[in-house]
Amino acid sequence: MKKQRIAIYGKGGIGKTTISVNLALTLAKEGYKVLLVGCDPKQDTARLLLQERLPTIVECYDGLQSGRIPIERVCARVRENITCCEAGGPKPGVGCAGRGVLIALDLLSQRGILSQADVVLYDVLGDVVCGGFATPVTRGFTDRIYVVTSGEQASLLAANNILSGMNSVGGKTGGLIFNARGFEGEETYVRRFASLTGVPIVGVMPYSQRIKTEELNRRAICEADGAVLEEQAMRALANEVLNGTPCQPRALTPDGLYDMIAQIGRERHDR
Amino acid sequence: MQQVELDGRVTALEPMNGCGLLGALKCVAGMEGVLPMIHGPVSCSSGHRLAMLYAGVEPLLPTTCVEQTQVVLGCADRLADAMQKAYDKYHPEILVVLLTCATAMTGEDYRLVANEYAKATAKQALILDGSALAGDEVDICPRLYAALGEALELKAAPRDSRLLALDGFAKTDYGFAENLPALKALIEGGLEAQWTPGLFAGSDVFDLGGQYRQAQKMKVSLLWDRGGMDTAAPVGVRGSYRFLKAVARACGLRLRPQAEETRRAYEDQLLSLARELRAAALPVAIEGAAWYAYPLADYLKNDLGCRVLLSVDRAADAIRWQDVCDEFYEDTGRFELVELMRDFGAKLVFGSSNVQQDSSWDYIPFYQPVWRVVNPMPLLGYDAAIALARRLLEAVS
Repeated sequence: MKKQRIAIYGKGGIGKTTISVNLALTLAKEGYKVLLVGCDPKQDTARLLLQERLPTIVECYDGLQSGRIPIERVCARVRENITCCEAGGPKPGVGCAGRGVLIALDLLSQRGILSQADVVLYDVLGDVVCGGFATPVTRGFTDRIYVVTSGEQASLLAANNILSGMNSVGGKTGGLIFNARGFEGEETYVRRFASLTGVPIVGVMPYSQRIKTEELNRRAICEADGAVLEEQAMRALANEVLNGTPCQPRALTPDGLYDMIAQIGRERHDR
Repeated sequence: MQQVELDGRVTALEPMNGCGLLGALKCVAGMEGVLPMIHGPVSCSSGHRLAMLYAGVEPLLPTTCVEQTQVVLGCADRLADAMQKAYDKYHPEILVVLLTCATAMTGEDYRLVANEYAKATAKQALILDGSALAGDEVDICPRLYAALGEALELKAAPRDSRLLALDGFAKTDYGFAENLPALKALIEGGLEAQWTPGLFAGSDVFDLGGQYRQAQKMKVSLLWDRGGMDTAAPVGVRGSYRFLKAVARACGLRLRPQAEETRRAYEDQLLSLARELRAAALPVAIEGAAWYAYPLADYLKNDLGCRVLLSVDRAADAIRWQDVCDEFYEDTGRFELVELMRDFGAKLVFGSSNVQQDSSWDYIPFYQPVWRVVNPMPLLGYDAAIALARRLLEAVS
């Protein structure tokens, strides 16, 4: 199998970390070595896998560069076949988080960490507000990106924005991951968006109260008992990640997206 | 909604102007009691330190030496620590902290740091964005002047004050030591006024009862508003008298009774020199700061008949360049300007060492940086006008 390097993008709070972590667990169970890289200054990618806080690459950067801090300090083996690290970043309102992502990924690359895994998953900050957050793509550390979305307007706007941005920096898009919120008619919005943009829906996470409950207890759903539907969805997504190919997105204009949403509203009303 | 197209083109590959750090240092290097400090990576200090040598002062420019990790995580604490250390070592009356591109882009609010410094030391710290992102070396000077004015609680002088300070005329101006006595003599000889050094030229501003605070202030050179030729530097005979009248008007001062007679005497001296030069139509190129360069171009073209190429740091929209030169450029320097000067056919060049090309033309230092050892030539006032005309005749012959 060719090594896969996948970046997960999407609106803040849409479920990127949930999907990244559970995807990592699913792939690891199937025997693949997974590196999970948190690229969010909130440093919350590892929270479902570790009880204690994982030191970040940025805060240990000087020590890592000088050799005073071993790389294992920031790249923790959190499960069989899963290594996790957090890029880290500043507190809100100060510093430059985008630059933090860039230097963290550069360091991982220089140390050969990225090439050791069969699958690398980047869990990236919701709003790609500067060039630093596009580092997984612009530095060539990614084979494909996937965009997590629900049927909510804000989520679709964010997804559309990301598709547009990734096009312009040469990112290859694998598809959409529909993480349902469970409101009436939601699927129509996502499917129409997929159709108009030419980006296939490659994974569907049905709305799950169970996921939320488990995560409140800092447990990933794929490690909970009896989460059959959720595990099925993740296995299908894992298969896509291992074998997927890029598509040719056609991002909508903002007006085009609003028109799409309005049109669906009219269709539903007419019904 | 119409998309706004951003123009991604550069206007000059080799601009004349540096970033705000350079402009700020040009101002404060001449201010005793004021310590500049760089908040940024090490080379922003090491690269700019030498600008302080323009004022002939020790190039003291402490820095926070910000590195990669501090940019990412935030560096207000580092700044606070560096400011306290700078105070403990140098005891400045005012500490001027200049942000650089790295520290300005993160948008941290350093006001709290400045406030804490003031509480701890009972002295003031100004924090200015010196990065190129906020403008270049021309843009920062008025901002810095305004900030200093507020920090120093400068008030308008009494209207009847006969003390006059030319603010903006700085120790770092090229030829300051030569031009200062000429400027002082012109002012005191032509106006009923007494010269006192301006804020960037060694003023006594920290003496609350001193002359500077009582003086009328006129903005020139680094602070020139580019409002017209009247207030441009006193270059040439006509230009020197024009300047005197402008200062008199602006500051409510009177011309001395002999001012007009003095002007006429110098014009008579100039007459024959000018006649010879007009016949030669010497091609001359100028690279310089606008306050100096515009009137020099005016003098050379309109009084001495030269063909003139002019490149200034920042154009003065109130002045039609066609009235003072034959070719005009803005913020173009170094080798890009040298090629333009060559194409123009310049035989004599006024400028920085960047445009000193010994095999191509005669050179007169006029604008920083001047790093090759050349005798400076005073250019302001009446005597300088005559000397300059004679110098041009040498170039012709």
